[in-house]
Amino acid sequence: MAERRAGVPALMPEWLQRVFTTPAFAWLWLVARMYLGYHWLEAGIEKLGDSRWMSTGEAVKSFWERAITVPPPPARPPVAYDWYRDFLRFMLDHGYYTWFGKLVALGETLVGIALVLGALTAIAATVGAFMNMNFMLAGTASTNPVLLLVAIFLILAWRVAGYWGVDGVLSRTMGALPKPMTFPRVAGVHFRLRG
Amino acid sequence: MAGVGIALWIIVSVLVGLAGWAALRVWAKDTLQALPLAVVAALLGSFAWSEWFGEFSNWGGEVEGLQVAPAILGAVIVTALSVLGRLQALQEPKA
Repeated sequence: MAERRAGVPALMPEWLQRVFTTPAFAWLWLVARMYLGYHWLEAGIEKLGDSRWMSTGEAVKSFWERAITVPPPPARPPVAYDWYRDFLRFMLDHGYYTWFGKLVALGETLVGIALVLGALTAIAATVGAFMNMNFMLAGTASTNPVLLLVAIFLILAWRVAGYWGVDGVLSRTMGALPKPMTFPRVAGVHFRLRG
Repeated sequence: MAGVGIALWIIVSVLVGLAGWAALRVWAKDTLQALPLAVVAALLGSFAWSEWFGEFSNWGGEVEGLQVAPAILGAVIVTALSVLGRLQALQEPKA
């Protein structure tokens, strides 16, 4: 562990840094990874076997049509942001749902596999979080807030989230884990994740 | 989970956690500080495998919502990994 530089404030308390950076807590991230990966894999495999996602894109089309609907007041539209509704309408008008269904099904499955195996964990969690964000922006809450929260924690624990997985095997085979992360200057102060 | 299932989950997890901590005591002369973590690892591992991933391995029967084999398996796997991780962390040079 690197020595903390004088006058450099730590971004987190010492015990919390240990949770996110040391192998002693890698088991916690394994469980979180399995939970998240299992959900993505389950959702992705179901879509892969559904022709409404994989050939016609009908499932995406009806989802987008529902999302861009603006009901008369006082009812609220599913999409809160006009720019996102315009974006969905643009994709709908151009018929992008035919390939988008395949993209979502494949994306969810690959994210699930990567998280379960612990391969490129932080990247997989980021892609998963991006999908959660889009589902929520399109007006679907469902399990997305919880999955997004778990993904954010996995991204924060990027150094050890894949320790008991492919990432860990590769880092042990090919060399040490990355050096402690140093954040650039924020509000005039240098922050470090661990000291 | 309910009733006997919860009791069984706690008993199994505490026993597995204690075994994990005992291993740490023997191998690394670890302190009492490591005990809660080993027990928490066993509790979470047992819960996760019984509640979330039990569908794949529900061969041991069910006791009031607790899938027995996955619960034991989960506790053992996660506690073993927590012990290995702790040993690894103890070997790391201190700041």
